[in-house]
Amino acid sequence: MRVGIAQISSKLGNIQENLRKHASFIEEAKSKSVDLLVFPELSLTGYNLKDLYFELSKESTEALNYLSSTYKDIHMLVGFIYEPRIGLYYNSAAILGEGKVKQIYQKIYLPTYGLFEEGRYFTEVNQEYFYILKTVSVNGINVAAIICEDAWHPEPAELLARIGADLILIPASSPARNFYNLVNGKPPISLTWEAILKTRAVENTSYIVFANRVGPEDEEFFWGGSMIVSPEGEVVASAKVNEEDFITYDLDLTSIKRARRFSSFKKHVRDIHRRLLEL
Amino acid sequence: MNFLNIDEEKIIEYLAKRLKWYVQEFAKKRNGVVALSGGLDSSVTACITVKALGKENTFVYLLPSESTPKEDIEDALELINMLEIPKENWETINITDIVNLVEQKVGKYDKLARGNLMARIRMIIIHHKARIHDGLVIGTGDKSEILLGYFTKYGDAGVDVLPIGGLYKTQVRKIAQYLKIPRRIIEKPPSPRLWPGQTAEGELMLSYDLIDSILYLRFERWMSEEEISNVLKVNLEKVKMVTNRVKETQHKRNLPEVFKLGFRDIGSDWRYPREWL
Repeated sequence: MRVGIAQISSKLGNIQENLRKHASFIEEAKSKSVDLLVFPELSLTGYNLKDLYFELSKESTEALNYLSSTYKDIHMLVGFIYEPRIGLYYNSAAILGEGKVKQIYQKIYLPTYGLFEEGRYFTEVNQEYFYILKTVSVNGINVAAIICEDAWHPEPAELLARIGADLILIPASSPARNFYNLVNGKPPISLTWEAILKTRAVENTSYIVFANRVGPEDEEFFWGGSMIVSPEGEVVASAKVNEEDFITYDLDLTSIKRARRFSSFKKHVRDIHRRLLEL
Repeated sequence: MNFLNIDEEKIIEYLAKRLKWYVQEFAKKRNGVVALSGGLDSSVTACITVKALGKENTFVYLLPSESTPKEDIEDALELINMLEIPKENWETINITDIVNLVEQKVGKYDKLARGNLMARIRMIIIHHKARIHDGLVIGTGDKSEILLGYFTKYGDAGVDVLPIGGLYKTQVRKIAQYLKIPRRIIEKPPSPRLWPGQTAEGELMLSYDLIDSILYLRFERWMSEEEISNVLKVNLEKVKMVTNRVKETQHKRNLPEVFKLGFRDIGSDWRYPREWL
């Protein structure tokens, strides 16, 4: 199972241009025999759309369907704006493959602090979402996705792992801050992300694929630095910082096996969650 | 279009109340300073400033250039007369010599650049006048112009507050009729007078009635360009011309971008209220 990350710089609100970029990365991935290609959060639309969030669901869904029907021999995770009910928008990513939209993942935690305003534009998932959530089998590996901020909480990744995901995809649009304190030329948030991704990988004994946006957008700049973390907590592949990149990695199923032999993932202490529910 | 109808009396009362609060309570200044061109927007703005602060606290400057028709100066003087602005509160300063001097020192300006230069020279003068009179610069831009980007960055847009910035041009005209502003001011075609013969509607090739309706339906009622084209019976290309103009001029309505380097920088991280004390 070969996974690829398309660390792209999307153009804000320009779906046709973003679609062309997706197509060129998909062609490159196909030429390198990638089985599953992961794009960043809202890859078809761009992230910080502000009032344009309301305007792009139709066009981005059409673009998604175009990718799905055009590239049938590769699986992809693509970010778009989903409008299942009129006027209600979800920050979403879909797994496409074999000519179908196989599963749509919706962002659970909508960041609304600092520069983020997702709570202003997007709808929060309802209870039903947690029951319809499914993994998708790609080359016999069960895959599912959470989006960016969802990774900053333990439960979304845990839920995916508990319903069977061995590979968790995390498309993201993480903007850079604090250039005063660069660490090896990387923004400090890259270290925070690395710690979070390693934690999610180890606690769920699953592969984590973090596909971050890169490049400028309005008044933000996304730092890229996408990574793949093994279930044993090792960064096994990483993309460049601050520029577009395409990386691939062949998953090692034995690593999952090793991680699970040396882990308490086998225990699911439900009483903890019952207690959490009461808080 | 009747959806842009307003209750003129209530709107004027509201804007005057807001302006009084903004100048005297929020900014803690005494006076309002208006650059009067003899056109519709600045005439209405001057009237509202007088209503808000009183004629004693309203300072008015006529800043004509060689491209200002003499009727505009006459109209501005008539308005000053109508508003009974005290003699010591208004002045005419012809900017042509200043414009020529800049050109002589800096080099030749083309038509558009010379227009922008005039708007910026007026801005420099009016801010100085606001300073010496303990006042704010009361901007005269209306909603149609602001949305279309029909203004000079750091020129006529370089102001402290925009009391009629929420009114479309056609609504400003209705307010002007209600205020009984001299008819010639209301009826003249809107023009920035940056060069002889320049008119806004001529440049955009659409009447303000249609421009305002398109702006309103697209950006306030969220209708698609196609729907607007049907409702107003206007060619889709014309609708797009207006909405594209809004998109292309977005940079003129934003503060300059600060590239993010710190934990927080000015821009999306910086959301303190205007009232911060």
